[in-house]
Amino acid sequence: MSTSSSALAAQPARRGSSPLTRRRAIEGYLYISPFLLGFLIFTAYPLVMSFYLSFTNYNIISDPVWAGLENYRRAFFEDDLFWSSLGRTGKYALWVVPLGIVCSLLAAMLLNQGLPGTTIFRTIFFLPSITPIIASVLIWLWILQPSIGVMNYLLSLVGIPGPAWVQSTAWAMPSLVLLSLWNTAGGSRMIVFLAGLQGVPQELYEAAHIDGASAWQRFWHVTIPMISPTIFFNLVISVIGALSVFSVAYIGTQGGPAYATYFYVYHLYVSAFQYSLMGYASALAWVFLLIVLFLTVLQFNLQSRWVFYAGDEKSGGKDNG
Amino acid sequence: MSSTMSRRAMLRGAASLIGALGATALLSACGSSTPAAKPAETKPAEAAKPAAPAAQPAATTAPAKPAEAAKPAEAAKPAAAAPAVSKKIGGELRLHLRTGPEEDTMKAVLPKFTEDTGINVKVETFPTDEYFVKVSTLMAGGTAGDVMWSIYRNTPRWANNKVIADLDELVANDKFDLSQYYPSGIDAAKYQGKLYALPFKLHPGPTALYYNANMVKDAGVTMPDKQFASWEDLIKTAKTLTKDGRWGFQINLTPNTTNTLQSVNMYLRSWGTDIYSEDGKKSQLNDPKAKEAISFIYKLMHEDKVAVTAKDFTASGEDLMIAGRVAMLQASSSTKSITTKLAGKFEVKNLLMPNGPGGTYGTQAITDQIVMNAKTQNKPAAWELVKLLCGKDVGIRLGGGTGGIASGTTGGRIDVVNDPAIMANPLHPVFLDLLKNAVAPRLPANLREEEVATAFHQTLTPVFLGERKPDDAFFTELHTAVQRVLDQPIA
Repeated sequence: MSTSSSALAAQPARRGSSPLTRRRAIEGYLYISPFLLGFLIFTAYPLVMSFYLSFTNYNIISDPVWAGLENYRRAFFEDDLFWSSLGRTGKYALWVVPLGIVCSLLAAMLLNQGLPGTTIFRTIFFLPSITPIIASVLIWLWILQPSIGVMNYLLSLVGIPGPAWVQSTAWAMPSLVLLSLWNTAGGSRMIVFLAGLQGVPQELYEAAHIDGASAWQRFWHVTIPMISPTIFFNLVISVIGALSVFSVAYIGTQGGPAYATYFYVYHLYVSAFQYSLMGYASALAWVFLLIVLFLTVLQFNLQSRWVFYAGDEKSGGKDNG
Repeated sequence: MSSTMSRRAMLRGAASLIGALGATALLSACGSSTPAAKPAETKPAEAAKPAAPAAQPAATTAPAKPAEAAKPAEAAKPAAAAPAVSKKIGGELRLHLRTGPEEDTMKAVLPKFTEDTGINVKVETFPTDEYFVKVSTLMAGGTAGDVMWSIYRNTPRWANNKVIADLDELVANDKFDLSQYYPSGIDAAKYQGKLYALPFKLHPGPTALYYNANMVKDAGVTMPDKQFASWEDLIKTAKTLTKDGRWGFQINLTPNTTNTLQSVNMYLRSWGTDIYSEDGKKSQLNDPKAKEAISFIYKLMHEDKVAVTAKDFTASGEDLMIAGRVAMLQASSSTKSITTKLAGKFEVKNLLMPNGPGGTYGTQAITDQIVMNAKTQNKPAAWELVKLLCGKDVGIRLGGGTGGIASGTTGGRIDVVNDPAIMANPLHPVFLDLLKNAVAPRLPANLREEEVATAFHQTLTPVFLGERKPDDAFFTELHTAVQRVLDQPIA
């Protein structure tokens, strides 16, 4: 008896082979089935279909017709708006991302001072980010109206003739940058920065202060390295968000004037839903995915050069304790 | 064995139930929707007894004045070729329309239609901006309605993809008289020689000049009775009226791309040309006449400085006039309803736009149309509904301008446009000649009018803004932008 039991005990357990293990696996799948079904129907299936459609000519009302790489060829070699909209989107991101991060960090640092009224200001700063984008854009369109808008009125009081803002090819993009910054600077990015700032050990500031570091030196040599993971996170999210810009152009300018705000995702939307070129729009979507993926991977690869994780020997973050 | 359920068993059961429900919902959603129910009777030749002498088929119904009961003795003469008996065809239909006054008109006429024909109509409306996306999606899913609203630039696309029915056979079998409609409206409803729609509404493009009569009187200006003798006279008057922060004149231009195409093409036609060649394959924007016409628009805005520039374009062309910031507005027949929005603020009158150097005022027969789904299960019933929607009664109601955002554009029938109820609007008579002389618009051969409209509008905008002059380099760019779209394969 003891021989057989020890022999049994010596045999390695075969995973998934026992009825109990199988039953538990089935139970697990049942528990996650609502999410799984939703994921398969609303995410995976459309993803696979859009990839297939990107190789077809499909105008919604007729069946897709296989076209091979025609849509991709057209995007790269024939469609001027592909490259111009991509360039415009990149330019927009170059403005919005650094300015957005700086503004959010400044707002978070103000809130981190622990002054009276911090809670109220935190709420006020956060309000624009929860305002529906349609309402935000419409209000800003009124504010920036060239003839009767508030902005140009205020500028006229100090003798500055205001530009035509969204009605000007030169000022339309800066107008949308301004709108986006107003909308996002005090939002979740600021909250994340605030959390990061509050996680910086006070001892480091005290030590730096004792060593005679100025406020700027403390900021540059203590605060920034210690919140660099937070900056990195916000950078990745901000880049993706900036490249995906659509709503402000769709609601505010319809890509104009003269294509000044004709961004990539807007071009994708117009191709799909105004021109009914679903196959071509699907190809644009996949190209966009690859671009964003490439930039995100690039950022991850470069992070080791500037992101400091406390306790990580590679970044030199040795524990001084 | 315990009689109580363990926590694990309960969770297991709940997860199984949710999974089963989700699978059931998935299977239900993937099933095709039921098409329009087949009628019990599909014999249009059978004539049911009319309920009353005034109970006529939709196409010949006398105009129903809300304040009066319809009296058979006073019924308008029916169109000669229309059948004289009501048909109890029965069945159910789904109708797609735009949200707004057209939807309201349906609520007024459908009960009687159902009573006369036994056909139940379910109206499904969508906002204008989303209409074609939604209907196209329904078509893709095989669940589009039986009868649908469409517009002249979209119908050919649907016809080309064979999703709407050719109406020639129905017209022939029913001996339906197409001469009830303006020829330009019927031309605009044809694609490759076949009729795919009937005209629902028709207007001649932005070829009327509305003016603020109070403002004009205060400025001491005398307006002509019918039409300015020339553009120079209009400009002179506009200069007199341009003062105190208001403009003398507004061209019918808004941020909307297809609106720009229509409005600028009115000028091109006035100058004797068009955006497209007759076969729709070539851009004519490098034509000297086209250059002159567009340069003239620039001149009105930035040299004469009498016309509203793109800096101040509003979503609706009427907004600035209603706000008292524009004295004269170039617009189409829908602006006849401006009086309902003004609520007596000031009086509005209208004239014809002046002729251009081409000797004409550049009409285009802009038609809203009613089409039939090629897959409808009840063609006879759908045909009756198409005839109702494009009939005299509905046409008059559409043009009634009864308030709110009701459009002033009437149905596309000759008897509607000349009906006393419509003629009673003092802003209407100017459209009689315009509609009679309207010419169907040309379309791109590859049916990519939306793309052309975007390229056209975006390239023109710097000129409208005054940031660029309409020089040769500009026209080369404009012509190239449009031709690039025309060179694409059929959409």
